[in-house]
Amino acid sequence: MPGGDAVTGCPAPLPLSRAIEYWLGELPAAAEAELDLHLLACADCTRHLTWVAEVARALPEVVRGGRVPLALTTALVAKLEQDGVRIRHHRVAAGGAVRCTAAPGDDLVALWLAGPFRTGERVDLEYLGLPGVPAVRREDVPVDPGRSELVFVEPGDVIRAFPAHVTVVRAYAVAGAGERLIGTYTLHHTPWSA
Amino acid sequence: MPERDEADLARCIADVPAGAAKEAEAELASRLAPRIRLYGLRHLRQEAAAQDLVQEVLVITLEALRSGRVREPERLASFVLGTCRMVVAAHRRGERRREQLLAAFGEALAPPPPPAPMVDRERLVDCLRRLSERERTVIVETFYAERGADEIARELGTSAGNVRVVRHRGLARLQACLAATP
Repeated sequence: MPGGDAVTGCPAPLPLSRAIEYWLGELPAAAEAELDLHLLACADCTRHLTWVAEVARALPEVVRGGRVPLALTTALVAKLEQDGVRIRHHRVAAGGAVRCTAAPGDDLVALWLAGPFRTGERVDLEYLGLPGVPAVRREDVPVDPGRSELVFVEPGDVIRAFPAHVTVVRAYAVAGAGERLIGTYTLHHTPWSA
Repeated sequence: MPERDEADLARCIADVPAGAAKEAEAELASRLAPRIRLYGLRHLRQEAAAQDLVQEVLVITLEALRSGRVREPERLASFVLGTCRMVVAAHRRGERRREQLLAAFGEALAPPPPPAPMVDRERLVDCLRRLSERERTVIVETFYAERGADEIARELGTSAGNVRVVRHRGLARLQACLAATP
């Protein structure tokens, strides 16, 4: 299985794409019933699907724990907060600056970047000035098309570890070989002081 | 000695007096349990309910085999599927569990221990960080927010087909990363 779709020992191996669609209830009823039957007869495909089920179980744990950086939709930000995830929000417009920090209890720190984002264009974020880190570029960051802003969350632990510094974030629209600067955002970070 | 398949085990249980093929019953139960659990997780979305389903379906299946009501042992999976559907429907109607049957079958059907996590959480975090931003967002939307491709597509301003491609590519990369030696 590692790295591929093949399942050995089964005459009709379950491809990963189909396992995902089955798990998510995206198959037509007849195909789902057929797969229900196959899985009850096939130990190999059961093991394959169990991996999908295990990821489905584990992933919410690590997301709720604020363990991974993420570009989010506003709906997902709302769901995280409903689920008890503590998020500190910092909002900044293109060309603007914001003071930011992370409190001891913050699971995630959300940076809301407002700007002239256009539906369908790829957006890259470039971070300059992060302590001890060369320039970082996050490519193809999803943008909520109904809003003229982008929200990106970082684990609270990561932000809390930073000393006072200034980071500049540049958002680019990328098309083909060219790119257009959408906006520059300045983040004045200071460690939390109660 | 070649391994007996499920139909062989079913015949073995059916061909002897009720309860005389305890070894075959235990072997069949251990093979079917993870498959029934997965069916339960898929259709009921709760671990506890899936574990209950395992017990109830095994009880009904073994009882049917003992009493000769499974006419075609080679089609045992069909019988198990039908039983799963019946029990899931009953679960949804809020019917009581069949406690007396569970008691009658005793320790052969003791609930299997909760499966050990297949996915190391620290490794999962590391592998998630290695995905592209879009792959990570789509996978989190899928498994944390439990949103389908159509809904994610609307939220991200793209097509459902594109979401499925990104989702599949991201999960394939995640699988490869988790399987690789750290």
